[in-house]
Amino acid sequence: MFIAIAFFAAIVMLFTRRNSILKSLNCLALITVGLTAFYLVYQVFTAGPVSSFQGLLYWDALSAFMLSVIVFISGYVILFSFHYMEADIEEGKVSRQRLKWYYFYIWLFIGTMLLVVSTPNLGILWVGIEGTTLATTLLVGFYRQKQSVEAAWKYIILCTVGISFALLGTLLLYAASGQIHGYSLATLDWRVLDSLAKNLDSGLLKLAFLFALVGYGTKIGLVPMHPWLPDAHSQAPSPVSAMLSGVLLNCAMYAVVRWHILIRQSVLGPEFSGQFLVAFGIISLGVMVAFILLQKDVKRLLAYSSVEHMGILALGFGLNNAVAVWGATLHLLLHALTKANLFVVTGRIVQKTGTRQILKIRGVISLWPYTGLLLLLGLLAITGTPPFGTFRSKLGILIGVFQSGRAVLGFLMVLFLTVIFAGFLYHFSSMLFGKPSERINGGENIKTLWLAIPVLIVLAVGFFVPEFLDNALLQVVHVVMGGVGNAEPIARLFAVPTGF
Amino acid sequence: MSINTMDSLQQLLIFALAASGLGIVSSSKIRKALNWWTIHAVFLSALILIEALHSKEWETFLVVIVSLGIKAIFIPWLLGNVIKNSHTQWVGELFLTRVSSLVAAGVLTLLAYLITQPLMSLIEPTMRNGLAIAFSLLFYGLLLMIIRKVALVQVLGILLIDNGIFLAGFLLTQGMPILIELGIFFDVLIAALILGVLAKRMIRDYDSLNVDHMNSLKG
Repeated sequence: MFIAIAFFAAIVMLFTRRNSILKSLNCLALITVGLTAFYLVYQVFTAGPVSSFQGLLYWDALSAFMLSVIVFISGYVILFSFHYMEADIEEGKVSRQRLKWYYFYIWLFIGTMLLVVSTPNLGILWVGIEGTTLATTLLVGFYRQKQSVEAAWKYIILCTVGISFALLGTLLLYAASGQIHGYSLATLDWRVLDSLAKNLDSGLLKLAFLFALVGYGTKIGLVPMHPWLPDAHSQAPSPVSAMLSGVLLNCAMYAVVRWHILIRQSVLGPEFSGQFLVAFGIISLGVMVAFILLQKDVKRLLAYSSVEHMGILALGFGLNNAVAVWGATLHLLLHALTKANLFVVTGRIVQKTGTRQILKIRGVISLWPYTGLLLLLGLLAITGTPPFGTFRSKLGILIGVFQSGRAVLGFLMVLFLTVIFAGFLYHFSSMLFGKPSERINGGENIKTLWLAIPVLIVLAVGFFVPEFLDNALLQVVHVVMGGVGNAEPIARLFAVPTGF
Repeated sequence: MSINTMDSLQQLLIFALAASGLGIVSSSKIRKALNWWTIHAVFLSALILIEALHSKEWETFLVVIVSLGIKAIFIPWLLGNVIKNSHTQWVGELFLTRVSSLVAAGVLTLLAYLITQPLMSLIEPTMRNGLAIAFSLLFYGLLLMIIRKVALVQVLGILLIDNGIFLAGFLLTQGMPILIELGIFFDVLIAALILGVLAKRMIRDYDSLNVDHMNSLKG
């Protein structure tokens, strides 16, 4: 339903050139997509999985959770785009005729992401993920500069090659399951695969998972498949960077988690796929320490930080531990909120100062107090400083690490996180508090503060996890840990407090 | 046609696919590589056509038409258009020249035979060569991505990888379900279009298709 609306909205955007009409169309599309998605999410979390179109679309707790993240962040980013693109047009970076194309690509992008989380079929999932790459390539290259062509080229080439490995993995899985269930569309449906899982050929399954992990891992930006990511995320217009880092990476992560759930149910057991996720996770986290410390470009800094957080997520989902999975799920949501917020705020700053060099941005707080405040909140949230919600989610993952007896892993994670915290503090404090350049005029409207909504949510989750969110998280943990058909309720194995 | 003739014809086509894949690897002019690609795509469609005549399923005929339309007609036309705009015909040999890249491709073919050994239980023994050649095509594609630095040849590399996976799927499972197959073709089509657009912008901005010029993003 909302997938159709999103694609329809994309096409409608092309019919007009007037900015005001474009804005109202966007709002209309956002409201309809938001309402239909909200209704569906509500149904899933209160009454269980929903399927439609004869089972071609299917949502369980995990899909519904992803769906709400996508819709929320997309709405936030599109509302911000109005102002941002207007400023770009005034500066002459983008011509007014191309504005409609911007919204066209954005809505295609949203539509493909909605498709990714709405299909129960691993084959269509692949088509959708490749679709997101294609929809975003021209957004990455939206500014007509040399660097954006370079970034877009690297992006599409590396991601397409990478993701074709995931196709090969899907194919091998299809070969394995088709032997038992016959070759049909339903054979790649994970509701069917779940019941077949125990009988699948383990050798083929191993090979298939590794190909899928490398393939989707490229899209997530796990080290060593990450080199495209900072280029693409830093060259795209800032609202697009926010979408790429905030939701697209999560969609790719979602694909890996779906595979992980399947492999957990098979004869290979819960440890096989988990160990690879944990390994890729900790390596990504570790390698990013150096990149973040030495970074000179603020948008690249944020892009590398996304790789770091995807590493944390991979680690959390990979552990065979309910607390860790709980933490990872919460962290997925909070990282999306925080990173979208940070890209939006730095986007504003970069637009105002005209530079992405950290050393050239000085005294944001005295020039633009509200933007400065937002940046400060974002800094504290992204590094997981208490009392922000990210502290709670990272702590959840850490508790999981130690509960599963991997002390060395836990120490390494704390060490890396601490150094990254220091790096962020160093870079951001110079941007926030330095002596401002006299050529730049400060001053801004208090309305800017609406941009703080996501980061305020992150802050609130740090103090208490509301009943419905806790409930939703538990259901997601249940899906990840227990597969699809398994209906045994998991008791609250963990004592993560929901209040003080 | 008897089943036997069809089988031998399929075998022949599979080797023709390998040969045209090698043709792309060994080409020293972009134009030539593109011609090899067209031949390659036609062979691939012919291979599916035989299967379609054999199974008489409408889905397989649909795949033949889509594959011929996108891979053998549209993509060569699109890339040919880009080549006309570019000044050079050079494929951008980076590490290996024509002869040595053929040797490398030969080694990769042997490797493909080696790694497809475990998959043998899944298919009829007559298709043994087919599966190995599907993986060789995948390897040729990856090889092209590494040893050639002109953007269009890299596009051909991606397309070869895709063909290799397609062929493997065709032999292992008689092709993916039609909905997914069409989805993949659609993705390939759009990817080719976008790559074409980017290549044109590359010619405009850098006056060349050499990806080495694009080196400003680091760190």
